[in-house]
Amino acid sequence: MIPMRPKNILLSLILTLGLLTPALRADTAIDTNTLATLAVQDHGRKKPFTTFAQEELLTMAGTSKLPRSSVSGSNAAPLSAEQVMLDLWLKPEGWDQRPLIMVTFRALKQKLGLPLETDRKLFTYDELIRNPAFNALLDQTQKVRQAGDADKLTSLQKEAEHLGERLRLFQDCVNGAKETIVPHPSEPNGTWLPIQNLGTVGSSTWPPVEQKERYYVSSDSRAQAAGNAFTVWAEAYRNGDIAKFNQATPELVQALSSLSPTVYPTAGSLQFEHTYMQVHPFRKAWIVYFLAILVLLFTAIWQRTAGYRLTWLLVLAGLGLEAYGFFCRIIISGRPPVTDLYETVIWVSFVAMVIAVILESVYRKRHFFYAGIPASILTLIIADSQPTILDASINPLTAVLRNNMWLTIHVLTIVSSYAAFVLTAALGHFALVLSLWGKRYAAAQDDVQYFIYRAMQIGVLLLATGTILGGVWANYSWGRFWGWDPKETWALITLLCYLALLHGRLAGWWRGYGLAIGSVVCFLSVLMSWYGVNFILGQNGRSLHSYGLSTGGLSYATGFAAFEVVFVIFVLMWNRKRLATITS
Amino acid sequence: MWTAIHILGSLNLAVILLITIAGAIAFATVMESKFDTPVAAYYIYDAVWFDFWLLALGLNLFCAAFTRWPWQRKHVGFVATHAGIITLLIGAVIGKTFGFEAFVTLDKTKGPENRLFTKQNILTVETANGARWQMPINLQVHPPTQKRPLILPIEGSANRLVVDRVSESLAPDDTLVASADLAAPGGIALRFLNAGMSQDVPANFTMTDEGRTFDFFGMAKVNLVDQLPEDQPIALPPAAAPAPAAPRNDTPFRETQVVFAGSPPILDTDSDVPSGYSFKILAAKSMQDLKIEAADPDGHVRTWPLHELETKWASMNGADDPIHFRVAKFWPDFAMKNGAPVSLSDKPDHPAVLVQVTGPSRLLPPAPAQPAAAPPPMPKGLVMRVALAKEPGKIVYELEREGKIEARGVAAEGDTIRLGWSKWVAKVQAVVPHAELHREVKEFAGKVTPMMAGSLRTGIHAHLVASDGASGPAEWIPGGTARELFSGRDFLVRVGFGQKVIPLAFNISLEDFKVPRDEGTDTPSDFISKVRFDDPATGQVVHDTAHMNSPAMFPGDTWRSLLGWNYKFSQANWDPQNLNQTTLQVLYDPGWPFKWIGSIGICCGIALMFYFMPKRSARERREDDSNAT
Repeated sequence: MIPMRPKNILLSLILTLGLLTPALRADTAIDTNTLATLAVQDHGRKKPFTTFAQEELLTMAGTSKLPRSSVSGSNAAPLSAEQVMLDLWLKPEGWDQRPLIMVTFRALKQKLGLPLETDRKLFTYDELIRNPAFNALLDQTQKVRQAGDADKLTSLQKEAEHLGERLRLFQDCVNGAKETIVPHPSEPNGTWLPIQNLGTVGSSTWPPVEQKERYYVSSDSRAQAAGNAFTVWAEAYRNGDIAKFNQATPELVQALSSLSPTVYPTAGSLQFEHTYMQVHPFRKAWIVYFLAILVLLFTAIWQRTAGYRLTWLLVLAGLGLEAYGFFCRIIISGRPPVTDLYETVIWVSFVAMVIAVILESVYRKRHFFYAGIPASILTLIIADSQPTILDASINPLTAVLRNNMWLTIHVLTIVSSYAAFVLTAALGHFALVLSLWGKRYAAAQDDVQYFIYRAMQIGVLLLATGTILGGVWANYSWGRFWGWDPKETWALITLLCYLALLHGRLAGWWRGYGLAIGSVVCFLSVLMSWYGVNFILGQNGRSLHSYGLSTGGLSYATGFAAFEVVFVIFVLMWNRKRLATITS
Repeated sequence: MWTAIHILGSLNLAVILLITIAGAIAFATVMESKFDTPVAAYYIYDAVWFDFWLLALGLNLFCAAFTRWPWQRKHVGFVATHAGIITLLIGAVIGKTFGFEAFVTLDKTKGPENRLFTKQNILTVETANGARWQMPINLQVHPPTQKRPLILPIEGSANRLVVDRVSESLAPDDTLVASADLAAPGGIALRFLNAGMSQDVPANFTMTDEGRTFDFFGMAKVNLVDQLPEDQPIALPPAAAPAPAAPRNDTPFRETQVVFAGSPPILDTDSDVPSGYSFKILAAKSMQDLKIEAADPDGHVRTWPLHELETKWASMNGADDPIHFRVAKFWPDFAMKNGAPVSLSDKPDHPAVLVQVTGPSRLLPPAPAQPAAAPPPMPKGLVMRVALAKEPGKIVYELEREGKIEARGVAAEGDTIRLGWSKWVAKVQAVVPHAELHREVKEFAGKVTPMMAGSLRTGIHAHLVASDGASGPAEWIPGGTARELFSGRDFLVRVGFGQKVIPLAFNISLEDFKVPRDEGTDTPSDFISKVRFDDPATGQVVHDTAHMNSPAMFPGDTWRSLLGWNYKFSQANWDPQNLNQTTLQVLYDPGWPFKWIGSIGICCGIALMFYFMPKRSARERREDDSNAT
């Protein structure tokens, strides 16, 4: 945990000194392209400083841009993540008095006596670290952990721990421990150190943390050069001379890189990642898809052919953007892109669109676009708008997922089947909405019901193959084919649900309309195996598959499930009533 | 006949089975999260009715395939899928019946292993006439209680074995008792007491190899030696009078504290004047987040990350403060094992640290200006030696500090020896001329302290009941041991309790074990065990490597791999504190070929059904739909 009662004396000293706080000069902007070539080792990989800044600010404040209003009350442009993180590192004076640390959990706010308005989610380091209720809560949490009852922690206690981690992150950013920019002298996977460990930087008051480990001796001319370059760079920033700071960045990077040229990542690879972060391909993709669905809707009657062609063009452009995004993530991480919840969500949007495009190219009836494009937009917007639940940062693969091509195929196949079921459910919604008008859209309804079947086939094939491949793979590598692990059991339940749906149709229990209802209902089982197993069942960590998932979003998921149930009941009742009026 | 096949193979039955199985296992996952994995396994996954349900599904698939007889080209996908599922189920049955899953723990520094352990608990019963049999017992779902004991008849007799309790907290309660064997060497039982902290640490010594030493939490060593000079007593220097008023800088001290997260610290200081510093471990989820909170006698409190104190000396008030401290040893999951402190895992569940505190002393040079530059030396450790005295019922002891003998003397049974280790004293509990260690166990009722956690075991409580209802004395049988039970009517059996062991015809040894990490973190990125197999019967020697998701195999040729006639060794467990050791899961599965052939059948069959069927027009589709209704 973080040091609570004994305030970190040096830290508070620095923060309250407030000696040099010149207003940010807005005329010269930080050159992020150059800043990106400064590498930081963080969360198991080396990344551009710009990525580091965005990810850490996201963790601390739940946003990648800090609204200026929360800082000074003016309406100026928001502070970029780079500005905030550089400030915390090089010019932290006064930041403990500014709202920067996220507290959103309502019960925690209540406990800490913080204002409960939902739009107030940022609080100052100072008000949190001094909060006696928070300290008491952490003490309590600590006692539970010491008693060995970590799985009995309440969600309030867990949230308090997370807040503690955010405060600790703040401290580490301020005292420089987080900004590990000194490369390991020889090993590509060696631990990098903060600049103060270079041994050639600093005075009696700064940096505040004593060096504990050294890679380079102070007499080393390269270490001296790097130390000097850092001093010039940091001084320029402290003095608000951004132009000079921008000029000093390449010199600092050059000096650090020459400490260990083989270990230091190339400027090209760092800028590649920076470009990916700047482009936001997955955000642009949903905007393009949005245009596509608008074009498709507006040309439903007028200019059908031209509109359809334009839609195709826009859809392919959107797919291209997503493909570029996946290409970047694969190159940056050096692994397949389906390891955390965020990546599965964007992968689902991508594959759902790919399947829609393939089937649309076969049937050319617009229906796959009517269903597939909104589904893809929805998943991408979810991924884009919930950065604290769906963490977009690129992290190394956990050990259980390594070394095996079959495992990669297993995961990709399963998640792709979810995509097919997303498309199926979207078509199901489409068919059910059409059914509300009775016979008026009977032909379209017939087509869509058949398309539901086509899409569902793809899903069933992928899910059956993925689940069985998982079994074969597990038998080979873990020693059992099937272990009734919650995640694999739910994959099986999902498969059984869809199989029952298909066999029930064959048995004549229902037809196209029932298939449409079923495609929506069965999707709830997909939701359960995709999300619910880890968040509803998996709290005790009994699943082998519970890697890489963060917390949160449960209310959204249950809300969605409830909406779906209500929607299906509404459709059933509406159609029954209409049938009754027709027959009478 | 055909009617029956049609009913059994009907789609209606299929849909009902699919829905009920889905419902049952969905319920099982909820049960598992609410209760426990074994509970869900007992009531659903491993239950007989569930097997019958799966059998019914198999039958349904089988009959369904036959209702399409004679098969045509269009049935290929359908038959392949259904035959695939049946083959897979057969493979599962074969694997469950003829195969096994077990574990083996290998140590680089130790010899080869040829026995595997399973997770299955078994009872071994051996009667006096040589009959011996084993039976599996399930203790997890319905553990036997006094109200609902497990009663097992003993073959060939009217006696019954009654298991009436299970405990996971059996603590060793070793006592030194007089041996009937007059050749047995002597033994000494000591108790280390710390009145202020209400701590009581028993230590038994015998002349056996493992009975000679006791590690006092890494702070002191206690050894039983053959003899000590009895006639040269040395008096322990008297404890300095407490001098709280003296300025701290003038009070020399070097102090060691073992600090636990849960229980009071164990303290030792060389002057009997405690430094007044106290330390607290602030628990955290990960090792990196562990903190040490230090408080000085004036009430100042400061906190350091644990790793920082491990790498340097720190002081409360910066460089001018003459009192320095550091963490000299750290156990994330502290436990006492075989009389020595160890860490059971790398999870900070029961963290303990050994903190050294030092201040300026007449014996030491003045406080260094740069604490990091020259850490002052610390005491080299404390040693206590004990030996049997010539006179029965007495012992000779010797206390050593930094290679210098501080005290020597004779003590009788019941005496208390002042040690000069802070407030600790040693009480001579028993002196036995011909001793043996009576290894009893008892159920530990109180709160399990970190010091005990490593020594607690699981065991059963059992007794015999004769045909006339006479009940013999009950005994605790800890895992991995056997006890003789009497019925009180001249009937004796030997009952063993433990995990089922599978012997192997070949030997496995660990040649190397490596755990690479993600860069800049402690997160393992892989586990690499280099193993060597040798078969003494054939002289065959095979080297292989098990790493994450890629098992080692023996004998390991392609055909055996495909057919499952192979032992597969995959990474299962590791001890972060002991990288010489790895635990591998061992699988032998003759059902394997059925499983992968069935799997291919299912996948290909579904694909054939969906995508390689003769084309139908939209009209045919609609007709089909209406026919179905």
